[in-house]
Amino acid sequence: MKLAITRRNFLTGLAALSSGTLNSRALSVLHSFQDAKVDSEKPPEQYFETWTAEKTGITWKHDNALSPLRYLPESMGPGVALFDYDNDGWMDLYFVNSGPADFFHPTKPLCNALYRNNRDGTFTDVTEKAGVAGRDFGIGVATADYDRDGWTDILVTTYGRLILYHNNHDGTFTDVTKAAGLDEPGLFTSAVWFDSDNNGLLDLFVCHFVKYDKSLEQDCSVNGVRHYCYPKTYEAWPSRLYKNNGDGTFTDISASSGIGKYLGKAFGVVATDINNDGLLDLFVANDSVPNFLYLNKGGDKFEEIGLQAAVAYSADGAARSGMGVDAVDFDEDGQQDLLVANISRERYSLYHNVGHNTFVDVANPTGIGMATVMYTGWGCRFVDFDLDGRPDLILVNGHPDDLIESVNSSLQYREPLLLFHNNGNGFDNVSAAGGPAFKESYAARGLAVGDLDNDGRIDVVVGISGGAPLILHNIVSNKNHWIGLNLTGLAVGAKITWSVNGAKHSIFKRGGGSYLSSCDPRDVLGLGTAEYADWIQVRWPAAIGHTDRFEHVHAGKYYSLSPGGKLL
Amino acid sequence: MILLLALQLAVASTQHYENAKQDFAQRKFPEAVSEVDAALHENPYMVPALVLKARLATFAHRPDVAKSCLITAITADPTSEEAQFFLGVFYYMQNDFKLAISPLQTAQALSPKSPLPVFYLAMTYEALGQETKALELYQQAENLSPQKSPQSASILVAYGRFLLSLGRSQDSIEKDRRAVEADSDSRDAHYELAKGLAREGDFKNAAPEGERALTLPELGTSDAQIHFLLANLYRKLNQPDLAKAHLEKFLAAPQTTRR
Repeated sequence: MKLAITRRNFLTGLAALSSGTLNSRALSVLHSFQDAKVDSEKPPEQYFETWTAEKTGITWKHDNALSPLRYLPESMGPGVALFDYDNDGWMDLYFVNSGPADFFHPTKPLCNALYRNNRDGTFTDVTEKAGVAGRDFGIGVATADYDRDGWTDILVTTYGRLILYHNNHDGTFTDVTKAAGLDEPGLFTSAVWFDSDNNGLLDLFVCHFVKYDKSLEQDCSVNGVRHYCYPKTYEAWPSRLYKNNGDGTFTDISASSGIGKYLGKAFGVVATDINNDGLLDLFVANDSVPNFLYLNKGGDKFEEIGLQAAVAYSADGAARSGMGVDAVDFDEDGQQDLLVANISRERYSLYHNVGHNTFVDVANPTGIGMATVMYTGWGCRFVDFDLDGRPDLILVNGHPDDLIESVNSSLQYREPLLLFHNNGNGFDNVSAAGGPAFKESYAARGLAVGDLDNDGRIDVVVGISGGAPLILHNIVSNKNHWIGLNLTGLAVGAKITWSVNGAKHSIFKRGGGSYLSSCDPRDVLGLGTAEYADWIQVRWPAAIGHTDRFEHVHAGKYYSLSPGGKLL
Repeated sequence: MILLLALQLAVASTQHYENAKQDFAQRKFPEAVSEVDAALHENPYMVPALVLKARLATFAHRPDVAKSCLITAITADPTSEEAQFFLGVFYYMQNDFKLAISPLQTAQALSPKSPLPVFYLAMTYEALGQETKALELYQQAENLSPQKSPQSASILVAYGRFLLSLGRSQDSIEKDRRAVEADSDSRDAHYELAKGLAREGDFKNAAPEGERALTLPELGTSDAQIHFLLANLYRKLNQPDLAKAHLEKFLAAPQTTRR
């Protein structure tokens, strides 16, 4: 099914333009697509193959703690992370699992899992040696080098507490949560590392879902059978912002920053710069209450502008059930747009940034709305899967109620994955070409993307509630070329711009995004059929305040770059 | 003797049903329930009475009773267009769209000139994300309801809303304008027209439509929805006081979600 702006709509738009009846916002959408200056291409015949457990050696499975009483946290996880824990240049995998909690007493030990990449498509379980098993009721994960020692650390969110694992540089980690000042109770979901005050240190925003413990659970039975309750059953609660003190400790500045006064039911968060002022803003997807857009005012202060920015509610003033989020400049107009994955019948939201801190939901005219009307979305990511220079979109789905089919035959607990190709004029639903996994249905939750085999083609890892993770190996076979870029040190907030045959593309390095998950920190620049980029420019985050530019960069390899350094 | 008794029962059940219909029309729901129960006591398989009982049960938030009555009705008479239609509507209202299709299609086949089964089929396919089918059915429903009436206005409003959701705002506005012509007291029509105009950037003409909607009886579109729209419109029109006033009313209203 073609989901781009249709030829008819486009011609209608042109006719309206000539008669002066096309409004400025619609015009900007058309303009931005048309100005992409890249010829539309035929999408690939197949995007992914599935790497099975037999191939990868990944035997870990998520246990969702499913109980007859249907406790809320059972339906939320798991998150996944792609990161290089041993600095060998290959992406390793981290999976989050449930564990003991006030409502759950597992009969066998459960743990998170760290798998080392063996560089041949197989992975080795190194969890116990690394000391990152968790054994709490884990939900999500966010990885980053918070102490600037050059080694990636792990933050795990759980029902109960946060866990900060410091990387010891020898394949092991130490739980430093208490010493870091992050030992707080709560029902935590997604988290993002970002430099909130441009001091060069990564601060931490953690989504908090509702106020919750076992005693607050409700009976949401239908015909005498317990179902998971809708989030509106529970009390909203504030999320947290922790300032990095630069000495391995953090200070909770939720209250003083202004973030703590907003009660939400936060599931997803992405850090991006919506107004190009050099300060990272936060977009938070809430479930059943309005979304928050925290505009960074500088000086550790944030202003919530979701309502004014038109990203809080639907066009009819209804709060939707936001789960996953992402931020990208999908139409290459220089402004970061926002995506929210909502629940079935709500349609997902694609907020086009029209400037002046305002957005217009273009999910419907771009085809994303109708394609998602029956689904419930969680993990989501814009990424250039076919290396044509434009961000495509992957969405993973699944209804939160495992018994939904017993009360509604139109909905399914397990839902298919969705894949959209950005053709420069809009999005085509190319799920049918996604590969075998796209013909199946899953109770999918977390999603992380990255290059597992360093071939420049971005792979996908999906966390499945109550099951084995799904690993999709990108097998796009076309003549497109790529350049990999690994920005070392503080990179969230950097902007990478490159030119291919005179056509300019860019990636703004957002922090976080998707749902409960953490992606490969490297970037892959799609070059189309060109064998080199005319030039690449990296504008580092404001804390670094430096721009690097390189001419005639050859395709086909990963380069490492430090501020002011050379491409290595 | 037996025939006479049967005739008496039939007459009695028909009279009870007629009374129930009258009470229902006058919104005397308890009285209507008593009468329809009496009718069904005399004749448990009286299809019109079963359908009416189902409609009353829906009002009373008893979907289990409504469903049971409708299924009994179509079992007793599978050719009852009314029973098939209301069973389809029942499933539609329960968001069980897949189940809604079959009875609505049967109702359509039984009464091909009636716009309502086609209209509900259009909304059902829309809810299932089947764009092409929904468009085709909306057009059929519109064609079957050419007269200006509240019913044709409802069809045009839903059609226009669907077109707007596809990004076809100018087509949507055309339907909404015709809906306003068909029923100038339709709150939904004025509200949807305001939304369409707003989408086209015509805030100046959208605001009066929103204001007009606010003066009309609240049936579908809520006050909160209109205040939300007007707050945004007045902000665009640089009338901050009006924007603030509507925003405050929106925020004071109970927050809605689709779930």
